[in-house]
Amino acid sequence: MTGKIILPDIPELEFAPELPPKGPVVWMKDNLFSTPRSSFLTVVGLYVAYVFTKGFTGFVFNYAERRWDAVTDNMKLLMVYLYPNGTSERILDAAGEPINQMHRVWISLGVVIALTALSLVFWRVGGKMAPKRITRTLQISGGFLLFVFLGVTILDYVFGVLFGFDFGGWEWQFSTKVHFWTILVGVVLLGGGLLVDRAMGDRGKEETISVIGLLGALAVVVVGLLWVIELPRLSGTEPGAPKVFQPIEETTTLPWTIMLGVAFLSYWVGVGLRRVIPDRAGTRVLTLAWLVSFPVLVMAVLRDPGWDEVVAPGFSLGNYLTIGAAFLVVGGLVIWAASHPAIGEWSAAIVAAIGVAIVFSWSVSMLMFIRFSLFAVLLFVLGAKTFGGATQVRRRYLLLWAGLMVFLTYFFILVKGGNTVETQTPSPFGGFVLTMIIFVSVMLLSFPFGVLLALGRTSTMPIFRLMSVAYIEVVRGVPLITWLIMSIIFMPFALPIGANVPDFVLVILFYAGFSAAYMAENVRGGLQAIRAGQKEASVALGMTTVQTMIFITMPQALRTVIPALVGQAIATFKDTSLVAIIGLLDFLALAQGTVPGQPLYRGSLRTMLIFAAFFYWIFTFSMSKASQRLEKKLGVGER
Amino acid sequence: MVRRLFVLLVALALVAAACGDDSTSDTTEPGAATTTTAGGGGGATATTTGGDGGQGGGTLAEVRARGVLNCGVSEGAAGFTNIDGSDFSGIDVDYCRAVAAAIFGDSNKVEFFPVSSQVRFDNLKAGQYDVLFRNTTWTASRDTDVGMNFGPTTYFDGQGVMGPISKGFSADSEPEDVDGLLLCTSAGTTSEKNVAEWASLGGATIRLETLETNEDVYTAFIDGSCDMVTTDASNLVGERFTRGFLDEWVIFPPTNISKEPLGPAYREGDDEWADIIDWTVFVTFIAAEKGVTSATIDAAIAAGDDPELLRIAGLESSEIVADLGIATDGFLQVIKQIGNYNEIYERNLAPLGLVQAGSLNALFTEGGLIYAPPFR
Amino acid sequence: MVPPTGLKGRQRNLAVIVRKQERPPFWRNATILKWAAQLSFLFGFIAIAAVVIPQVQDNLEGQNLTFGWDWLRGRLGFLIREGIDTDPDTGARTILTGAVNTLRVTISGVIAATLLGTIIGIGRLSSNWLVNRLASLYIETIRNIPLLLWMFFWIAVVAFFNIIDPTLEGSVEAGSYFLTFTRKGIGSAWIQPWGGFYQWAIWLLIGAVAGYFVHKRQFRIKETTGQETYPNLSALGVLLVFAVIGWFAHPVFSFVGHGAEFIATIIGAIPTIGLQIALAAAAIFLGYWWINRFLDERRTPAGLAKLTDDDWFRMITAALLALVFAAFFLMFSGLARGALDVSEDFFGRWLAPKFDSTTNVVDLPISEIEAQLASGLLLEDIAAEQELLLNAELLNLSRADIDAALASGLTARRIYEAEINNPDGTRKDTNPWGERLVFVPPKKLVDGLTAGVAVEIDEALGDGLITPAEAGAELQKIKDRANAPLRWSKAEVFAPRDGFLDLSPTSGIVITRGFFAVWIAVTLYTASFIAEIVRAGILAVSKGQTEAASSLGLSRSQSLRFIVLPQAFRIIFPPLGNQYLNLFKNTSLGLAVAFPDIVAVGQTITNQTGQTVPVILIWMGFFLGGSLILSSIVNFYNRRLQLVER
Repeated sequence: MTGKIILPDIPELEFAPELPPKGPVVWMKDNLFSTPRSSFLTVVGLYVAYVFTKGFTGFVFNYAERRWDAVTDNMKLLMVYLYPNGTSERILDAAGEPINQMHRVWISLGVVIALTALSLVFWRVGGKMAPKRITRTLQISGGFLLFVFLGVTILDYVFGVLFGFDFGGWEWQFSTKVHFWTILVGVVLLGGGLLVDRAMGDRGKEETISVIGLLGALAVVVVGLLWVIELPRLSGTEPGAPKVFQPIEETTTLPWTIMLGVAFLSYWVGVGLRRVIPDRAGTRVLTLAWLVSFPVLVMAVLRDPGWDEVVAPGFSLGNYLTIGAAFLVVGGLVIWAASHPAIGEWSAAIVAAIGVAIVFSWSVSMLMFIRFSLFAVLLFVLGAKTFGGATQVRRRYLLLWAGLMVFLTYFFILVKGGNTVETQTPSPFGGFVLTMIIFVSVMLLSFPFGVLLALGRTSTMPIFRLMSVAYIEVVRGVPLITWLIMSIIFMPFALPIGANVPDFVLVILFYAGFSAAYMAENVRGGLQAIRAGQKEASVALGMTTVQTMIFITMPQALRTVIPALVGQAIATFKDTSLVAIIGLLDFLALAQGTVPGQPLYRGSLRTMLIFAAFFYWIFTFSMSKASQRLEKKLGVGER
Repeated sequence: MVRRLFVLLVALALVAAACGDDSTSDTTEPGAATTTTAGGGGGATATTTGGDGGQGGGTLAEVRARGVLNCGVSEGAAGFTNIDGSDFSGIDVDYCRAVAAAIFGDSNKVEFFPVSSQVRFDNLKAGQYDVLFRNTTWTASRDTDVGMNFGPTTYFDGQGVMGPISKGFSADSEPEDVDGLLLCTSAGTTSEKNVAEWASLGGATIRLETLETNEDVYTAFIDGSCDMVTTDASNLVGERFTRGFLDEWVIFPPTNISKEPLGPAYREGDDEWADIIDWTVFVTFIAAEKGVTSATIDAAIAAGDDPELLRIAGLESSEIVADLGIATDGFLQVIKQIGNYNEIYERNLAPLGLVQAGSLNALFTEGGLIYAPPFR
Repeated sequence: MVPPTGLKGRQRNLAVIVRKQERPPFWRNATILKWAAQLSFLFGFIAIAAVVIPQVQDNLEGQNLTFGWDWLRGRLGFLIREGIDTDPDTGARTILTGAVNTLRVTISGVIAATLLGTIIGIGRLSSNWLVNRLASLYIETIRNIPLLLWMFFWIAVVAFFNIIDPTLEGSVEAGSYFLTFTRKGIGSAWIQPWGGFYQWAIWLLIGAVAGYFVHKRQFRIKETTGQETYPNLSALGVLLVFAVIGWFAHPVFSFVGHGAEFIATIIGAIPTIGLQIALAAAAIFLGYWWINRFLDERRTPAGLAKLTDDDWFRMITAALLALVFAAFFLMFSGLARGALDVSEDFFGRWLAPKFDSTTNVVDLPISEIEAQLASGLLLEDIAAEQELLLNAELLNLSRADIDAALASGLTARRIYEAEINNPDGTRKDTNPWGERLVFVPPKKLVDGLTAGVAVEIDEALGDGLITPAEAGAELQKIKDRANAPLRWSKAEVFAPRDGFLDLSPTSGIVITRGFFAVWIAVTLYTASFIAEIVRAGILAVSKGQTEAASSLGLSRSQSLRFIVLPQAFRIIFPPLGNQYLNLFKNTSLGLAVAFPDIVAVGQTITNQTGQTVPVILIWMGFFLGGSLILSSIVNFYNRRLQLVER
């Protein structure tokens, strides 16, 4: 089946092979026709490439039912679902004008882009790249296109017309228009690549260009194309046309240009900042910003906080501020006391007292905020011994507490406060936004839970170990879809009547629980890789078990499992598509059900599927590439 | 191996424990008052959802306090609930708006909850929404076992089978004509059972493929992966029309396989709320009967020659309307903002090729079943 | 605390500390604290369960959805697209059909994905640039797109298959095909197990066992004497010999059918409570066995080792679990009843007919038929008479009546038609006593005789082309063919009704489009992961091995086959097992593409009956059990593959 096998040292095959030093003929002889068997494989490979490319291009470009307009027209629906964009006659402001809230989406996207750009700077992502590689890629893709379209046509002609033999199996018709454009693009790519290559000569091998710069240039080209190419189809006047559709250049061209500006600006700002701020501090702040940005963006930008005094029945801003401040001060004092090195057994007494208070708080009706804050105090008191010590350390611990309380107060005010984004559904989440919300929440929630489970599974305490093992094995043994079905059809029975939990929250909780079991297994692998000497050394230094875990074991364990966690993130992202089966309107559900169900886009199912596949592919492919790079950078598996 | 077995046993034991019948504790649902979620539900409802959300009366008060009606609709059913971009439309959606108009005088004060057929009743009972307009069939078991109450039927539907005319089918085709064929239907409904029963009573053996969505069913049918389609006749008619197969597909048998009266559903035990829903629907019937539309209602009232109309508009014997618990001009707003039954039908179902005249859904004066009690 | 006398200063203090550490107060005792933490956690867990479970129960009861297993017995009334029983009579059989469908697609997926994954993984290491690129293109494309989307994609691809509509161009026509792609599925020729297959399979089994022993013996001789004894070849030879003998002698084992029927009768006679008690007893026994074994492990020659807290805890949990299970089995009878029904079904309805061809109601001896043919009757008449006799009781006819009517010159067909039809030509529904008529069709005049062939023979007889004896010989041939263990059969497209065509489910093999989409999606998807595993495994084999191989003069392909792959396999196998588990679980997405696997069927059941909890329990039991079995198989082979460290 195979040609000759190159055994062990293959890694360079990750990249395209070196260009032929002596011209393409020699290269082909070396790489394609080195032995008779290799030649045979090349022919077979060509045939396979021919059949599949013909099938795929036929499906994408020539199939009679292709409906790319369904994609462009419904882009807004696919991305942000029912978010008001000023086209609904139903959602009106005080003056009776349709409300357009899309700027909030753009702002949140802008924040994400800015953070990304800053992260690129501070994590020093992106290396240098020889222009030779770029031109080679251009040549190869151009050659491939030419092969596909010219080669396929010739083969079709030879076998179909001359011999009357249908070589490809199934018949696809190719339109001349597609042929023309594709062949033109192929010629431009191939010719351009060759020309640039020749023009640069040897310099092309030695000089390098920045990958980031290349990406930036690409983004400029793409956004520039938005100004040139007219994507829009509907003006909203066609009979039966959904009312959302404004011409796309009106709705997205300008915002995307602004986004591009934001990206460039924040990148340069980041470069400037890096000279001032030490990298370590910068990356810490950025990590925190990323973590906080998700709930804040979802709540603040997508939902808008109600800063009015009373925006919802039973809600009072004052209450929340008072309670928050009280917890900040009183809780702070308790924590300050608990972190005193000489606290001794009193710490246990405090913990017990707070425990009683928590039990009490759950047995009587009171604000969720108080319960959560009490719980936070408990956690901090429990951790006080671990993080306590010198006054300076205690002060930092207290600062952390203050930060948490501020965030908690803010978060609760956001959640409990009013929602001024007017849509006709209870939550404006759907489409790609919902996919991302599920993905990010699941990752965020499953991480701590998974670490706890991993600790439980490796613990020496039998009940914890047993419960963790039971949980992990049961959860992993049953497919995700059954858990999701369970969350939708069974959970309504398990919740108190009147507990108004939206489906997507239930789904997130169940999915996070599922993901945590896998996370636990990954983390456990890391924990087991830590040498016993590390632990023994830390015990010898007088660290407690918890301190050993937090300061010695965990950092090392997590570092080794980062690639596995990225792999899990990819799987989680892909599997968010499963919520389409249980009736949530995520990206895939809209692409596969809602859009083809619109009378105007009947029969666009297959086109939408291709688009959705491509869309998912971009994300997962770039994630997997990033993880490979990360793996190399961390040197995992090389030690 | 043993450890794994052990784990399995533990899991099963937990589940078994979960199913044992020990219902001694009369739980007080600690904190039901404030256990609403952080995630997304309307922020406004967060702190106030009462523990008795499902049972007991007071839905109207709750809706009033909230300032907006929560209405359960379909995730997408042509003519009944259409989701296109940022707007909802359809006959079910219009009735949701009508109820909002009756209560608030503003048909926009409504939020839509698209729900799947599997969870629609659970979520209604859990208090996620106040009324369910989701092409839901009124059946005895749903009235009793499931614990729903149903309002007046807004659309009389029934299950049918659709096949190509070119293969010799006509509107009179019978079960034996589909003997040996492959029928397709969508999951989660009673269609599967109905059609199996129909075929076996008719002495035919059929095969049935259950697909996940409506779109899948028709894609398969058009491609020739299925020989026939079976589901609600309104769906068949609508799809046949919008897909442009009006002259190529035929629906049979002459009398539908099943009766599917579709209408609003609400929680049991709240008569005040039931009255509002019922009479909002009836008012649209009465207006249609009198030929009063959203455009002509002002003129008709000004003419003042129809006492029933004046009573509906709250201009005469206004205590009738007021006793229902809504503003005296509530029903007037319904007609003004939404229109009468015929208008709603024309707007939503006629474009799908569902002809009202001569069908069960014509007014009783025109031989149909749409009939309202007198408003006095 | 008084320090010991005779010590001073530092020493004294140290002694105090040591003493203190020996006996810390209980709130500082690590063991006590640990147990307190664990028990309070457990208590909290149970407390939450105690709040939630009654609530679930109340809510379920509020909707009249009481938990139960009785639906396993009742008829659910919906049809299943494909599987062992498309119109099941009971809930248990419905579930069983779904489960078998899942297993079918899993097994075929595992085989195909392993093959494809290995090929692509090796191709990924090929020195041929094109093959290499294509392999990595495959991997990057397939595994980066959600599996669900792939399923949607493959079900959409079915639209490019041939139209199965005789009126349209490019469509399939009625007839037999070696391989045909249609929009209703793929029809392929297949070697089908036929009438005598199961009897023959027993011969094969015996042959395999014999072959195993022969292999063992030859191998021993080879090991001890160094003689070449061809252990593999001889074992194969033995198997072949048994296969050939069995091909002709298979009816010997038809008695197994009677045995199965007997077992079915016995199972049918077991009262439900009997099985419940048996299951409960088994649970308790299992707990007892486990504890016993556990204690045995801790037994040293000096006696029982000291048991730690953990040990006690484990034993108590095992005992508790056994009791809980016993109680569960005793409380819910439906599960036991369902299990009884399924096993009775299995032995009586499935196993017995497979082994026992004599269960056919009408299987006239050829000699008898020959005699009747010679007397001038046609096959059609004989068949009609048999049908008449079979249904005589229902029609309230006696044998004498029938004989008299036949003697009066009426054919059996006429009598039969007159009796079963009303005067207006419609079929009667009830007999004279008002009982519903269920006619027993004359299944097999001769095993394997189809209606078409019968007509042909009749015509030939009528035209005098063949003699009754020749017809009898022909029938004998048909009968023999029907009883052959295997049959080569091509896919057949037939018309269930004018204008419609479909793949015949009984000839060749039919892959429905749902099966196709699920199978190809999970195969390709899993293969992309397997390819990476294979590649990593090959790369992990030390370079010295290849170098040593080539220095021994082995060619590249030889060193791959004999040196590298066997070693790589050891590395590959454990992650491969994980991929198999994933594949097994991933088939559950079939519900999105109309494949009736256990999840899809279960979901329909919850829709129709509202029995959410039992269905979820069944899912969990099925998948956990399946995972357990699969992983133990994988572990078993893994152990065997590991190098024995010396």
